[in-house]
Amino acid sequence: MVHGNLRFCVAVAALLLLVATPATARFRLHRGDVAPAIPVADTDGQPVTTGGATTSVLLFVRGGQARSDHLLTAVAALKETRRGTRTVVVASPRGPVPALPAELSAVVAHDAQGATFKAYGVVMTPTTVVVDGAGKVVAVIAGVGQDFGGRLGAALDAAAGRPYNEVLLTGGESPAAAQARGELERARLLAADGKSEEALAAAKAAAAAAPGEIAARLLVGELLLATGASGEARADFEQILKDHPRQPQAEIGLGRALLATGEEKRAVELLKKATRTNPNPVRAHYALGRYYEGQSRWDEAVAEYRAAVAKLKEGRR
Amino acid sequence: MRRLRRWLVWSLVVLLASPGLANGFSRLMAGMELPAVDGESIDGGSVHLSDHTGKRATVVVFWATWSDNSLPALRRLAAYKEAIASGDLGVVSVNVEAQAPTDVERAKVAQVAAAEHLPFPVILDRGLDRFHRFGVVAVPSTILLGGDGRVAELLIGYPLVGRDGFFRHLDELLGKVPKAARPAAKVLPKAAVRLTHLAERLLVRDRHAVALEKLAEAERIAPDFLPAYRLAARIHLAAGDAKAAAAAANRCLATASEDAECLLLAARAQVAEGDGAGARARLAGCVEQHPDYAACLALLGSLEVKGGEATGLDRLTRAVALNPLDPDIQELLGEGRVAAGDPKGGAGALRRAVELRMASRLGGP
Repeated sequence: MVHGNLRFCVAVAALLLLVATPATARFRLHRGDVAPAIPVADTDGQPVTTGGATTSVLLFVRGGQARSDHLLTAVAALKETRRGTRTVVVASPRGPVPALPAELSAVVAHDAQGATFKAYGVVMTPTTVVVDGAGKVVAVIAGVGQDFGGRLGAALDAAAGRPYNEVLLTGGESPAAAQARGELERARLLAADGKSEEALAAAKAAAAAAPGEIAARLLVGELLLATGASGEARADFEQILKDHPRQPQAEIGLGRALLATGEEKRAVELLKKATRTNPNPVRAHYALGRYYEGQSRWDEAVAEYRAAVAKLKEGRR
Repeated sequence: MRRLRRWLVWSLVVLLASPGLANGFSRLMAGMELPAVDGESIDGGSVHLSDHTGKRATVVVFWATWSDNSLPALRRLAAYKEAIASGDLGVVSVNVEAQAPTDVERAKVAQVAAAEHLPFPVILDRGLDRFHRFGVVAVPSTILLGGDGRVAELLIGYPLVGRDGFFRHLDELLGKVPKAARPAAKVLPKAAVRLTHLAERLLVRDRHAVALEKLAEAERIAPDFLPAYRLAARIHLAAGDAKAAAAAANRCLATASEDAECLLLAARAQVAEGDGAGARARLAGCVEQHPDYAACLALLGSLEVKGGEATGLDRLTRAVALNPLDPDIQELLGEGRVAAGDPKGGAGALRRAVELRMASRLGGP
């Protein structure tokens, strides 16, 4: 079997790419996670550590990048806020070690192999990670927005056990939304790793934490379909369409679920409609192609697959 | 979301318009440093290429249990490795069984590794990340690194003509035989590599004009650096500028007249310009020189099918056997079968093309 559970990948792939991901959700680490060790030495050759009863502010930056310089300047200006903490500058392998503002006293490590960026799952610069004295992640702050000072302050308050502003700490997210986002991200990673049952459980947890989060509900439906629970998937997509009558991905999902549960006529109608109206109709074409193949209607199957390939080449999903 | 869409549009246009980028060792050439090859081994440990380099030679082989030639290649490499002092030769193998290997497939890979007593680690390439990153064109495919950690030779497939030369080169690096008179691989300026990578990143941001400028700069710095020509040709092909694509491919061929991917890109430009006969002649040359280069085989087969020649489908089938994970080749096979009056077979191959394209988006670059 050359392609293994390729169909499962296919089932999840489009959805993983479809759903907009908040900037912070791209990071591997979330609040409460144990901060990975930093596998590089500082510029003096000394090991770089976090924890040890001291809060650490890790600044992931790229030398020569204006936004990174802006972050360093902003952090330097927050001297009082940072009092009693350890500041570590982790320089990206994509650039030189940046020059620090005179007011910023920090340990500097050049992550030449990108190992620290990888361990922390940092995908953009600049990024700030606050780690408390127990070595746990308190906040991941992407970029250096207008509320950066407030967010860093809230994170350092939280790390020190002082009262803190939850809204600032989470970037305006409610705790439920933050939990849903974390679970959704976990579900995506598990799905990409082929662990469909665990992914489904995480997606359900995300949907339960934030019922208004349509991405989580869609992922639940997709994973139900991928794991063969077509009846449940159908109910899930029907419910989404009740709440969001024109949700295009749910229409295709329902069409596929109906095909799987034997309601072919309605399924084909829905899927054909999706191929006409949905700007991202690849899944609909694919499902119709499989249906026609099952019916030995080869020419129609070929036409659907060709259409799917053409849409994929246009960058559609 | 907008950035993602832009990324998808350009990277897909460039990636999918040409089998080359995804499937031609297109980011590698002799003289380059090899990016890190790390990963989880089939027995659960972690493997780092850096633990196996720094010797007189290092070999990285991509293989799969479904590939007919993988086992002979692995056996020869294993026997070779056994006969060499461990400090002299490092070998790392990367299994490219499937996009997301099932437990059964994983067990099969482990079984083969155990049954063959492979004296080197097996990285399971989940998500085919390395397969795509290195642009493996056929399975098996092998990279030979010299003692300086730079690519000394690339072996596409395990061709009858070529594999002995590869092992002869290995003998030379290990000092077992005198060095043959072969042009020394040039040390490529890092700036050219960096500029080409920058161009790739610019494409992601939809800035193809600037990307082409960076590639031109890379060409000026290192006129021998093939990946810059290849990428420029692919960008022009994707943009529908066959003339510019032909120019880039021909500059590449002026540097390396036998480079498989440059031959392919030149042929694609010829097809786009309506010179089917010229393209076929060039592809025939490519297939003769690189019998396991699946992309040349597939395009030639496709053109032959269009010309009503029976050999076309055979070539396409062989190309798919060499690289069943390439959606472009699957698509060409599907269209070839349809054209040859086999819509059932055509539908199957086209379905696979759709599945591969969709699944490959899981990882992304």
